[in-house]
Amino acid sequence: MCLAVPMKILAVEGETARVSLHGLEQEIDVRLLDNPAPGDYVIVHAGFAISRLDPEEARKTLELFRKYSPDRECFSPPPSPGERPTP
Amino acid sequence: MKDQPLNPELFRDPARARELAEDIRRIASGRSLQLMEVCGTHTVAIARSGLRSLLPPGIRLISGPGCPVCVTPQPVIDGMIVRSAQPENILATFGDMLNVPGSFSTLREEKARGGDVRIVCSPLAALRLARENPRRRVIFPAIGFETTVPTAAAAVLEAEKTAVGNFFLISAGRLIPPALKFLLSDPETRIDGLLCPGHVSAIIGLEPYRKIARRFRVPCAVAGFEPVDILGAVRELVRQAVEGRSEAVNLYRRVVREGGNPKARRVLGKVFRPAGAGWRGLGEIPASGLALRPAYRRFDIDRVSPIELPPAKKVPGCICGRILRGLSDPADCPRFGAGCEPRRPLGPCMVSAEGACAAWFRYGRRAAIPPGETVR
Repeated sequence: MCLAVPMKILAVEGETARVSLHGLEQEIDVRLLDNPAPGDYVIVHAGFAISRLDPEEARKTLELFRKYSPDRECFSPPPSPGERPTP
Repeated sequence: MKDQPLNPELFRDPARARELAEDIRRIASGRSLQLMEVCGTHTVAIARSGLRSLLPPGIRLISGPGCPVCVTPQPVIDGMIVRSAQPENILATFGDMLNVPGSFSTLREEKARGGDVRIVCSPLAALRLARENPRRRVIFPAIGFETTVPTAAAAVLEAEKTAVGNFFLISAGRLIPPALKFLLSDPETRIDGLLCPGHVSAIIGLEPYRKIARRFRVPCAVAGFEPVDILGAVRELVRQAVEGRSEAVNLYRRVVREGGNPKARRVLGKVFRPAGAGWRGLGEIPASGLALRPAYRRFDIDRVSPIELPPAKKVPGCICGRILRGLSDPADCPRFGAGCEPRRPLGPCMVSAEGACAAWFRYGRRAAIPPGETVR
């Protein structure tokens, strides 16, 4: 049920955006997102964009998911700058 | 989506998956650990990609209560089916509800008998149906977790704003953290780590898991849905368990922000308030359901037009309740594959494509990734 699909925003008009995935286009609702913009990749669930995809974080996660080696920390990542520290 | 590094193929790389599996084997070094995947979408991803076959025998993945269709109690299902047969109603629902067996019928059977059941992909599509059919009542079963309920809430706000008077909800949303606390307090269920649901977390953020990790001393890892995401999270959980740590970590940072999606939570909280609710297999859990706030009660079909239901029937032999608590595997059920299968399901864990039984039945004990192929 919580299945969600990454799609690319082509155009935004008010609370609606035109998005595409593999050449298929559709309209979605973007009212649950702050400042959606053309070019953003968003996660679409039940007709709504619920989150934005971050390519830089994707790269970091791939880096983290490499084989463990003792000279490289590859587990629990520290919070990104600007995020709250773990209490 | 071909632009690196958002290309999902990178998270399906078999070589990387095997390396992570080797790490897991080495770190676990023969220990026996039980990890619960909370989300039905994880259940399917694990079964489909055959990840269990890559894990050492001591690492057991159990399915939690993360399939909304599965945990919706029988009276809610029965109510939906009864309403779909009333001629004044259009029942607009996500497709996965269609075959869920009620005590006496299913939505599909009612549709075949003339009931007006429509499949929609968004609550806004249900609202559109209400506008197009002003003389009928359009009822949308708001089943789902924190991921889905904000979309139903947004539809209610839109109906309010545009004065649509014939749009109603069956308010059956559920909240994940109370169910996790309930399971972690259950003396029968052993959970050594939680694989936390990626898209629920996109809304609720990390804080609920931090509280759970501290209070119940259980490692929590928020994970994406590709095989490498899941194995990376399993490695993290195993390592924490072995080291005696219990922290909540976010391994799905490309989608999940530390604070979740506050805008979606505001919309949800404006329309709904937490309320006690029943879960199939788990029973009543305080503050785990969602009721419409007084200002939006006119959208609550059960308040506007209550119905009397005959007592719900139990499916003899179905152990869905034990499976949802991680006490049994689908294969332990006497009805699994013997009278209960996706085409003719007896219980909800077989109905929903995301149910543990359906995932086990469809994909069986799928073997490891074939050499040189990506996992789909």
